[in-house]
Amino acid sequence: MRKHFAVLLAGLLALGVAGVAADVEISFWHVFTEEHAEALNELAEGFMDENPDVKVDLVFQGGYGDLSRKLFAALADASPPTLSLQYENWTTQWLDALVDLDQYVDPDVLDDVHPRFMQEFDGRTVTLPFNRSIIIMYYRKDLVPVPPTTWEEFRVLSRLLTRDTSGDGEVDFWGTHIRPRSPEETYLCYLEQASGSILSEDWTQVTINDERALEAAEFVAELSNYALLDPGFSSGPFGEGVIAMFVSTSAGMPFNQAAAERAGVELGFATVPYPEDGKPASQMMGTNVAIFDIGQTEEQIEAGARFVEYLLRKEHVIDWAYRTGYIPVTSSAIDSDEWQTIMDENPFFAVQTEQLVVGGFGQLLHPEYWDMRSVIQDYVEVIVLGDMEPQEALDALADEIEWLID
Amino acid sequence: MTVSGEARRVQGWRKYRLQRGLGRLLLYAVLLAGAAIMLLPFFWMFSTSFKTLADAMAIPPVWIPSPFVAENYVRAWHAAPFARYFFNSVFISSMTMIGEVITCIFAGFAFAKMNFFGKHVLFMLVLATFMIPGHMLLVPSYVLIRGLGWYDTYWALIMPWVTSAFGIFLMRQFFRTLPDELWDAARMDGCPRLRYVLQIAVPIVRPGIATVALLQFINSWNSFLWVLIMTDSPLMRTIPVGLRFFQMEAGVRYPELMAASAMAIIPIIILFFFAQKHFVRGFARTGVK
Repeated sequence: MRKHFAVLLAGLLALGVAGVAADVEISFWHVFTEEHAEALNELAEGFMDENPDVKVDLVFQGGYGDLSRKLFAALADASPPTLSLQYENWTTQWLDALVDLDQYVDPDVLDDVHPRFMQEFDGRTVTLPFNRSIIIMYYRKDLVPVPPTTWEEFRVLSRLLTRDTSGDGEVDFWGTHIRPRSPEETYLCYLEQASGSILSEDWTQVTINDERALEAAEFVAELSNYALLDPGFSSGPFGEGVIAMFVSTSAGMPFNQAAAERAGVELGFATVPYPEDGKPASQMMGTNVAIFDIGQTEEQIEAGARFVEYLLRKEHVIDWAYRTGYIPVTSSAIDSDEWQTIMDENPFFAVQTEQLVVGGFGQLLHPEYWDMRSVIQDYVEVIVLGDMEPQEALDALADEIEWLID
Repeated sequence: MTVSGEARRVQGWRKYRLQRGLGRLLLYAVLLAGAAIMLLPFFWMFSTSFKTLADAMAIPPVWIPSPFVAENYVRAWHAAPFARYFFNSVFISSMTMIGEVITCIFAGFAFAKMNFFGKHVLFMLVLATFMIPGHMLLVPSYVLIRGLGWYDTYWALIMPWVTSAFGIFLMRQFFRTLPDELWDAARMDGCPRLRYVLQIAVPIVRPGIATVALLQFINSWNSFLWVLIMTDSPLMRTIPVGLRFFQMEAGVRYPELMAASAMAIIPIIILFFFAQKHFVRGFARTGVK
C-alpha cells in the first residue's frame, strides 16, 4: 500500500513538474523556410532544453509583406506575438507597442551587439539585430580579374564591358545590372557613400536634393548607360551570362551561386565601390527582432528577453550566420577565431563582414520612412530610366518628402 | 449533257469537301494553337519541377530538364507538412463548397421567386458587398474572428466563406429562368415550397450549382492571405501557405515551388474533369464571362 502511495506521489510530482515545465509560452513570428527554418528550430529547441519553463512557438507567417499585414491586424486586436521579426520602417509604425529591451536584456549582451546594428528609436532600444544581410558586389571572375573599388573604376569597367557581341548593332552584354525599383541597390548606398542623406540630422530639412545627393544621382544615371535595366533579380541575367557585375544583397548568395553555375563562371565577391572622396558605405538589409508588450504577461516578456539573449550568444550567432549566410551581428562573434576561420575558408563571409565593419548603415528611423521609401523608389526609377534629369528628379522628390514630413 | 451535269456536281461536291476540310483544318490549327498556349504554363510548371535551380532560372527557358531532378518532389513534400496542408485544403474547400451551394440555392431562389418586404433593397445590399475590396476587410475580420474565439480553428476558415454575393447572384439568375407556371403546377398538386425547390427547381439548375460549387472550391483552394492571417498553427494551414515556403528573401526556389504546385493542382484538375460539362454550360446559360 505504502509502495503504491509512493508511486502515486511520484507520479503527481512528475505531473506537477511537467506543469511547471511549460508554464510560459512565447510566440515568435518569422518568415524563415527550409534551411533557415531548420536552423531557427534548432536554436529554439536548444533554448527550451536550457529553459524548461519556457515553450517557444515558432510561427511561419509567409513573406515579409504577409508578416507586416498580420502584425498590423494583430496590433489592431491587441494580440501580437511575444516576439517578431521586423524592418525598421515597420518598427516606427508601432513603437509604443514595443518593450524597452535595455530594461530586460542583459547589458553585456546589448554591449556585444556590433555598433553598426545598434539603433535607437526615439532614444529607445526596442529592437536587436537577427537576420541581417548587406549590399555587396558580385562579379564574374573571368571578366573582372580585379573588382572595382571606386565609382570611377566601376563606371569605366562597366563601359568597357558593355558591348554588342553578336554584331547586330544591339548591345547584348552589359557591364552591370540595375533593378530600377530597388532604391537600396540603386541609390541609397551611393547617397550615403557621397556623404549625402535624405534628411538633415535633426530631421528638419530635406537634403536629398543637395549637391552630394546630386553627385550620387548623377553617378547612378551614368552607370545606367552601361547597365541592363531589368526589374528581376540579378541572378537571372547573371545566369544567362549577359552581365559582368552587379550590386545586391548578400542574402541572395545561394541564387547568385546557382546562376554562376548555370553560366559556367566563377562568382566573385567584393565590397561596393565608393567615391574616392567618399565613404565605403553599404546599406544593411534584413530584419531585427523585437518584443511586444501589448497582450503579454511580465513572464512572457522576461522569457522573450531570455530567448533574445540566447540568440545573441556568440556560438549561436556564428552558427546561425554560417548556416544561413546572414551576417554575424555581435562583436564577439565577428572577432572570434571561429568566424575568422570561416572567413579564411569562404571569401563570401569575409566580404560581407568587411562590408559591414567598414560601412554598414541602416534605414532612416523617421516615422514617415515607410512612405518616403516609396517615393524615393519612384524618383530613383525615373533617374535610372533616364526619364528625368537627376537634379529635376531630386527636386521633385524633395518636395514630396517635405510634404510627407510636414 | 447529263454526264457533264453529273461531273459538275461531283466537282462541286469535291470543292465543297475540300473547302470544308480546309476550314476544319484551319479551325483545328487555331484550336490547337490556343490549347498549346493554355497548356504552356502547365508544361513549364511540370518541366521546371524536374529542373535544377540553375536551369529553372534560365532565360529563354529550358523546356526539357537535364539533368532530371525528381528529388524536387521529395524536397518539396518535406519542406512543409504538406500531407496535413493537403487534408486541410480538401476539407476546407469541400466544406465551403457545400455551405456555399446550400446557402446560395436558398438565397438565390428567394431573391428570384419569392416576394417579401425589402427584397430589392436587400438584394442591392448583397450586390454592394462586391464593391468592398477584400483587403480592406482583413483587419476588422481578424478582430471579429478573434472575438468569436474562432482564431486558428476550422471555423475561421470555413464559416465566413459559406456564402457569397456572386454565388447568390448567379443562382438567382438561374432560378429566374424557371417559368412561374412550374411552381403554380406544383402548388396545385399540393407540393410544398421546400420540396419544390429541392426536387423540381434544383435538378433543373444543376449547371448553375456546378458552377457555383466549382468556383467556390477553386477560390477556397487558392486562398492564401485569409488562411495565413487567421491561423498560426501548421495544423490549420493549407497548400497555398505551404507554397510560400519556397519564396525566399532574395529569390524563389522554382523547382521545389513548381513541384509543390504540381501536387497542389491535381485535385482541381480532377474536379474540373468531372464538372467541366456543367461548368461550361453554367457559364453559357448565364452569360457570365
